[in-house]
Amino acid sequence: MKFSLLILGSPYSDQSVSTALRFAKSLLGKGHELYRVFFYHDGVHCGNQLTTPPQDEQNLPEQWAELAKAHQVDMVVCIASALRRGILNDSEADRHEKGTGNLKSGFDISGLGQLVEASIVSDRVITFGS
Amino acid sequence: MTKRILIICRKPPYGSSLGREALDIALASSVFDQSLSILFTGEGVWQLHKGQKGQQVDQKGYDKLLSAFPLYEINDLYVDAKSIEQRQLTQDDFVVDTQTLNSDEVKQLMAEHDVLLNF
Repeated sequence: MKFSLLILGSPYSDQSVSTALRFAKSLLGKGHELYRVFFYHDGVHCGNQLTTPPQDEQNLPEQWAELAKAHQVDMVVCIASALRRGILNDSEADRHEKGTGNLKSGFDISGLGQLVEASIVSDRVITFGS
Repeated sequence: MTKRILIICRKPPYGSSLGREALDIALASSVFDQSLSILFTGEGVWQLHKGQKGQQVDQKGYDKLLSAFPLYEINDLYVDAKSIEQRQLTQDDFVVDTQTLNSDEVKQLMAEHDVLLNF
């Protein structure tokens, strides 16, 4: 079955992000397909490469990026949510003259159309958070 | 491929950005030529309320956004009957036309849609 995930929760504030990660690993382990993970609302903080948790805690952006790399998962942060919350890739940082971007490698920044398209293409869309 | 998408709005306006972000998805969906419905339930029914003055809390009002929905051909708006009754609201209090559904009809609405996005 083809899944997409919609992540609304903020990492470290909301357990839903960690739950979503385990759900993603589980479904891939069962042989299902993960078409896209769409980070919206506070979920966009998952794409912040400056996230620096203590060493004995899980690094959620890192774990998402590793999962995406291992399984070629498309991971998109919503541009409208991200820019408001200070998550920018290098081209957006240039465009808005912010000096440097902070979007972690493995994440793309794009529009809500990516969520709608994922909803159309996927058998199931599962929301995590809020 | 056409899918029936239902956006469920449960959050009041202004207290969090989720209400507005749910409606932004509705606008984005409209360009994909999919069947889209929106259900307002619980505190989410306040999003529809007339006479909002969002600018007083430095926010854009929901009323303007909702008033634009017909231009995007978003016309299938539903409210949960019990939610509006509990809050002593009626259709006359709302900025857009909505259909009121009882709890069985809400269940049926959800069953009829392929994708539920819950905010």
